[in-house]
Amino acid sequence: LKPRARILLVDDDSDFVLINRTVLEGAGYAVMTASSGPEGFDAAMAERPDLAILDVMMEEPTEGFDLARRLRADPSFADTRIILLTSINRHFRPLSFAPDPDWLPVDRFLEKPLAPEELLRQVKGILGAAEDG
Amino acid sequence: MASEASGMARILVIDDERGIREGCRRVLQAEGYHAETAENGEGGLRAVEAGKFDLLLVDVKMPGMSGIELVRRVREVDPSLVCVMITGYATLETAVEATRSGAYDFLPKPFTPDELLAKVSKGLDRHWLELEARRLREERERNLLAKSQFIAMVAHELSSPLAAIRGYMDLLLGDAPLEEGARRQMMERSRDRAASMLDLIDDLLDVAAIEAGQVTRTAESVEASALLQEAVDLVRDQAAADGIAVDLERPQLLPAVHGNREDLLRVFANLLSNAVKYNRKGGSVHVSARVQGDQVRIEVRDTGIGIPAECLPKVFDEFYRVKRAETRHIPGTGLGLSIVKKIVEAHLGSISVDSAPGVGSTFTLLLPVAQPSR
Repeated sequence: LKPRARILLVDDDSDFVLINRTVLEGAGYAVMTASSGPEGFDAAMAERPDLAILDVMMEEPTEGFDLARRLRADPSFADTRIILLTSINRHFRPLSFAPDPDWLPVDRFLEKPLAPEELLRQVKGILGAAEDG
Repeated sequence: MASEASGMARILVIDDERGIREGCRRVLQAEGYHAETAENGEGGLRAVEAGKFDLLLVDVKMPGMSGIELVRRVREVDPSLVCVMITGYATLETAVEATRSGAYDFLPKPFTPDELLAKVSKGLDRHWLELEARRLREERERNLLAKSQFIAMVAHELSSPLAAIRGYMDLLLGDAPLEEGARRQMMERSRDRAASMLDLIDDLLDVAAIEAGQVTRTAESVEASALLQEAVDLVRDQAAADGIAVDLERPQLLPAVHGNREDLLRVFANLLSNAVKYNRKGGSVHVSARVQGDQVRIEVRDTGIGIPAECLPKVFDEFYRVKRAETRHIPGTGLGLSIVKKIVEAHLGSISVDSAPGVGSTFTLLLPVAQPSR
């Protein structure tokens, strides 16, 4: 039996943590959580998750970006997949953000709120790709 | 000729003919204007780039750069600069060409000092009008930008609780089984987020009412002393739940302040509620009031978590909340202090804050004493 994939949720809104944790645990993933960028980095160091799902705006408006770059700068996280979640995209039309190897080094950039089935579909897609690669 | 306002106006005379140049300067200076000269187009352009002028007197025909070319280039840099052309031979073609390049008026040679001053005075009026129009235009643009930023923030603040509620509903209505405890927690959280959203809408309506100028609609003499007691009573239960002592210190006779009773109660209650909310368990809130000159000085001091120095300038901004681990679970709309400040300023008062992280914050309020009716 394959070990359960491990997912780290980082969001300062405890409601989104609870909602996404419930969805992911319901689908059989092992979930750990943190409520700030620095806490998230410590949790990532300790838990070595397969996937980190990060909120962009926490205490600082770019805290999720910063954490994503910090993880990417550390070669030991080379296999860790990253999803950034934000509610800002819709407010900044016509600007939009997309993953970019240099300044937005993440696997997915998704808008909140995500319906449960959509979250699972994205997570499955990313973790599946990681296993195939 | 009236010239009280002329002292500040800066005028540049550009003419290759020394007699005209110096003559204009003498007349203008005698009238109280600041006048400078240049003897050709290139010199004039350099002078315009170096110093701020309000009006240019420009000879149409000069060796090198023509007056018309100079006006065209000057107006590209500053369209509010008024240019009056000095012409020896005012043909229709010249006039059309000069006007097209941005010249405002013509002064045909020879001219008397009064003719010169009349043209200058008319040109300056035009210049001040143009500056005022530009200022209004810029102010309008700033207001529009501030408004769209405010709307973006409101949209963000309104969508977060709804997104959370929708997330909970997706789970509660979904096929995945949930334990009864988890179901109940999700329903409670949904209710709390809905409640916080209603608070936010209340605050938004208050902001709108204040900005519509309704805050001073029924100003009267208000007994600040009794109103402070009322505000203290409002937070008493909330404070007791966290073991926080609230005390009120005021002189026997505190003069009434001038304002709207309901709005001032809102200010006091908001400051006191913050002092309790952001306090530590077993802490205290000290409220004091005294006369200071022709104002009543009210201080609300708490023993709470305090505000970091770098956040202090922003605490009265709309939707600004100091985000830290300690404040994350304290509910708030981010509008309370901005409403307080708007009300206080509409009462011709002022509010300031002093704080030390880990020690506490003090909010100081100055409100005008009500003038005894005669």
